[in-house]
Amino acid sequence: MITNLTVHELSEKLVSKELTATQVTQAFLDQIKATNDNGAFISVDVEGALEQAKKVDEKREKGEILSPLAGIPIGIKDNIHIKDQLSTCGSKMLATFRSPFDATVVQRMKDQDMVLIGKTNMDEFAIGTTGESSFFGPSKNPWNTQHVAGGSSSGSATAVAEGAVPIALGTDTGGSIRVPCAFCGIVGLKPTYGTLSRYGAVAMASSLDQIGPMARSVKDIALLFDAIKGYDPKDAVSTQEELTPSVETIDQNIKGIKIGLPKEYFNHQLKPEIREAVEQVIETYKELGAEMVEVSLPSADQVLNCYYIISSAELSSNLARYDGVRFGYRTEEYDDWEELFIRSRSEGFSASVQKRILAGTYFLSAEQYESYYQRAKQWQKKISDEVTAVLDRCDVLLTPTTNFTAPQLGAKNGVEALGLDFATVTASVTGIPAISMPCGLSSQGLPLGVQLLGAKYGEDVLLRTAYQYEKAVGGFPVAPAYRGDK
Amino acid sequence: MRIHIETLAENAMLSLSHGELAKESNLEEYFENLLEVVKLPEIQEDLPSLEETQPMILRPDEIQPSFPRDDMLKNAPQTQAGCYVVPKTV
Repeated sequence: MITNLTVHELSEKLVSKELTATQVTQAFLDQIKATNDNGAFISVDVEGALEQAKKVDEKREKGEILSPLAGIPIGIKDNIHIKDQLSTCGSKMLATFRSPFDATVVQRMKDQDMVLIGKTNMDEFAIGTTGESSFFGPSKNPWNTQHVAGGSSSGSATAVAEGAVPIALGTDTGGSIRVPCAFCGIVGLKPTYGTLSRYGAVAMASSLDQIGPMARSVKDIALLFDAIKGYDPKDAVSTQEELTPSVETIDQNIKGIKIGLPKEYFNHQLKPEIREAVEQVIETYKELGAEMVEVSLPSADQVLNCYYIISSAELSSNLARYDGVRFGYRTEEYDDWEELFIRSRSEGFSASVQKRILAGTYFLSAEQYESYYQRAKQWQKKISDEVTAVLDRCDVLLTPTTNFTAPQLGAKNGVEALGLDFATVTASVTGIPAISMPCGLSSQGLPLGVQLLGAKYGEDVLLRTAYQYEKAVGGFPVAPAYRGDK
Repeated sequence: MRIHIETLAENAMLSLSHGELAKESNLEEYFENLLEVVKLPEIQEDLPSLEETQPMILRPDEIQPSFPRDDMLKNAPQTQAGCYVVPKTV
């Protein structure tokens, strides 16, 4: 079944002409239609996707040498711009907004002849961890549709897990790729801050936002990451660091690799079955020749608060641009500019986004700036120093991705939902890369996730370590309801 | 600690009496709880911020071609003569 194939499996069949890009694209379009109720997509470009696929087939017929990603359909989170297509950010505020330009990563994927099939659902303005706050309705977990997909890259995770696309792009500010990947049983990478251009990704928290790939194989993640990474002068924090290609070394063994186990992430809040599953991952790594190192990150209990303060402050600033003037929702009734701004924002944003804006405004207010924002920036430096010191002794760190499995739809909200990001925010606050992989199922049949964190710009080591685990366990399938005969 | 939620809303250009927040109850209590939960302890060490140790590298200040004006106006709620239409400001 085409929709059960990974990107690298599809690529082989496309290169050998066993399949055409049009066949592949049509198969995924059919799957998108069949799984529509799961809420993975906000918009699907049926005609455009088939047109792109046709061009790939024509090029291949002419004998052109194409990228390994040519003809591969991909879903794009709806806060990453594709020219002339909707970019709603899951919000009423941008429900009719069409981007006038391509994001840099989108342009790079077009250069690779990928098929941009549609825009995936998300928590509103990437603010959320369950995928329930989208103006267009929640994305459901393909492993059990009574449960959340996770957020904020909810639609991308749902789409990959249900076989509607073999790969997708998400964004990750505090765990928004890794949490839905853990909940939906797929792989997702938050790369080092600055390695993937943010130009054309709608800003949430500018010092934390990163675009990243989501798929069912670490090899697919590496393929896409290598294709779209690299310096972009349009992103002021884009790194000019030489990045080692990840695909070239991904199949090397990991004998002697040092994996740090920060004890603070295996605390009393960790559900026993997640602990057991992660311990099994550790055993697998030992069998692969890795060496486990007990480490400590004493500031781990402050990371979540540090993240919340910085991200709220930055998003309150970034969302100030939505005022009903140049783009986005405009209220119908106003007498003056002040009413225009206030009513447009109050009607266009959901209550949860507005509450987060209020929090950020508070943290940046003159009276509170020192106690909250400035202090959070100091803690950020302290946490970064601790993580750097630990990574001097280890090649990667290993933690559970989340302390919980996917909650039921409607179960988590408000302050409680903060806990879902506990293990993922460390990589966000420090800028280091982190990947989430499936590591088994709970007693309820819900996926469990394990996270690896690497050194800055060390994606090659991180992905190699992750891939060897994938090979050892035989890969990560689509959710059971969407499997067919391969 | 009483949160002056009305002042916050004013600063954030949001309304407590109109729109989505008007449907919420006990906003002050929500924020008081939140701010207790997210408080960070003081740090005694004199630490520079991360930005001081990892500064942004800005591109050279050179004029480059930009987007066509019409493209940028396409998403505006109301335009006239190539400009955004807004209520009188002066």
